[in-house]
Amino acid sequence: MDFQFIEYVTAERPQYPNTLRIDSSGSAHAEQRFSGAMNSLGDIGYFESKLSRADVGELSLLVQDERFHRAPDDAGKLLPGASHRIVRVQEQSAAIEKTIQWEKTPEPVLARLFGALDRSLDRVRSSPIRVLRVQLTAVNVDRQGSLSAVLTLTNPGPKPVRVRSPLAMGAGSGSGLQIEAWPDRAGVRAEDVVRAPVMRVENQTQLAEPAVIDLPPGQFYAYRVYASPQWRTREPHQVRLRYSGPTVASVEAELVGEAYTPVTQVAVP
Amino acid sequence: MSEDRATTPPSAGDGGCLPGGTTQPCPCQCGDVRWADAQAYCGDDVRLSAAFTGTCPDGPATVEVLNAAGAVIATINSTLRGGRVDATWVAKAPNAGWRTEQIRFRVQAAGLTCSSSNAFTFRQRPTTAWEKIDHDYPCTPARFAPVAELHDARLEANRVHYSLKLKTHGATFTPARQTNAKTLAENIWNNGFSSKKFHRSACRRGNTCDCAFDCCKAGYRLDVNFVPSGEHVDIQIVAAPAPPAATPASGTSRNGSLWYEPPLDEPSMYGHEVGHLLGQFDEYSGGANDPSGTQPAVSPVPNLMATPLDTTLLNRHYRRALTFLNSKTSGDSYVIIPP
Repeated sequence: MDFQFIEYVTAERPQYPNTLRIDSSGSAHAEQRFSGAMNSLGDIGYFESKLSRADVGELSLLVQDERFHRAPDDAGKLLPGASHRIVRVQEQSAAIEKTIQWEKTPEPVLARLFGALDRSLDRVRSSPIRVLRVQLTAVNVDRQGSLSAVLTLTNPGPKPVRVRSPLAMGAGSGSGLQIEAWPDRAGVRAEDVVRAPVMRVENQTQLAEPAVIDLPPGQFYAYRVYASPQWRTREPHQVRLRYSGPTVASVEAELVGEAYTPVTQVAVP
Repeated sequence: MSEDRATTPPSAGDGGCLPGGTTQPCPCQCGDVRWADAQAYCGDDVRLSAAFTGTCPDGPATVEVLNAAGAVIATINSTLRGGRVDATWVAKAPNAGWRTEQIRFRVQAAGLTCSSSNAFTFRQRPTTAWEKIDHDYPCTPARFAPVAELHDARLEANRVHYSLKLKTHGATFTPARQTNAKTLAENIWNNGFSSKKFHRSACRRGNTCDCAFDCCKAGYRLDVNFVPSGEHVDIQIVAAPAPPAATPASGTSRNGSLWYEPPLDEPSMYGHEVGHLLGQFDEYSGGANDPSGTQPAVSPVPNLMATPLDTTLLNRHYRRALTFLNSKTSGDSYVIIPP
């Protein structure tokens, strides 16, 4: 039996789950609330695309596979708070849902389905509709270890998007803007990552702006951000910024989500 | 100041007077002066009365409530009428030693000062021994394991005291890192209550009660300890992936708890995960939500159970401690203030 739609939720960040919905015609919509960290473009928002007949056929075969229907999952056992994936398949007369905790290796048929859905998601993400892209440039660390950089908010999609202004995201420990850096060398570990909240944000005009800003298509806003990471070593580092927007939209309907900027290198003198 | 008079009945042969008589009125004297309620909870209405004998003119009366040292801790304006003064004092601890304090009073009326013949003492909340709290709360959606409230609790004289014992296995979690996790979790939960109190619902001073002591109020304390045995939960520690990979979110329940080391959002993560073991649900869409709605599925107010890196705790997050307290106070219920 063909599916009516497939919904694929990747809750790597449970507060910012990503949802991909594909119908049987191949129409695909993605709401990306977490940009991901690996090879991040720094994009969150809404994407739409049409998948090829071959892509839809592959998904159809996988969800019709009896092994998919029988595959054990973590339903009822998922740890509160933990990262996870959910795939929901709506068929004519029934719905099937499989939940897998993030760190677990799923059954092969589920792994193949997740792989196919991840590839579909990559394709859909190449067609932004209302999207925020965050980028970090002009990163500099002075001799005192203070970091400054330019944070750019861009809308690469064809429709306007409303986003939380970095000026309204607080500073210090409560900031929604955080610098992450780690030595630019092989063998680096998670505990080598240095995290520091952004301590100060300035816009170009140094004038006040609303907490929620409208970002027209193709436009950008730029901000200078400052942080004081506690560097453990004086050597070149990889740096990125984490932009943690609201987990729920306010009445102003700004974009919900969290994005990592692409990684950039900086010397730490 | 008037001379204190002993509380003695009038003598019929005292100068041949007749109470209310026509020949010679009996002198006004102190009669039975006492607390009608000699023990009550802080914040209760406590009745007191002073009877006068002889012929006493109606008029104003002043009641002074005294601590054990004899200092006035409250003054009540009342009236002597028909040879009687009745008044009510809203019991209020005068000092930190309220548990053993003997409170007396004196009444000034008709030129006399009469002292109470008995003392008032404060009724105390019960205290209890440690007991294990072990309860599952189903979540919405049902794909999540129940939120497990798992810890020890006891009611101490001045507070509700929780003790959570955690054991770990798996990747290295050094003693220094354990201490860091303990400190972060304890600070969030203990500091989160520092401006709140459990307060007697029946306290006549209401939610704005200005009592400075723990008589009508109780505090809260959480201890988190990593132990080699006797744990409430055994947590698997997993080394977080190397950058640039992001660290996944940790999860906590009765079985199979998994914490990444170092964790995502360390300043709030340990408090959040410990929150699950205190019976707290997630307050974000897609999380392990509260089917009763007491904790909103999507909190409009950023907080520890809703928002990464936010350590705010609201009254609802202490509701289970409140329930525990109320289960031990024999119907003398408490609420959390400020509301």
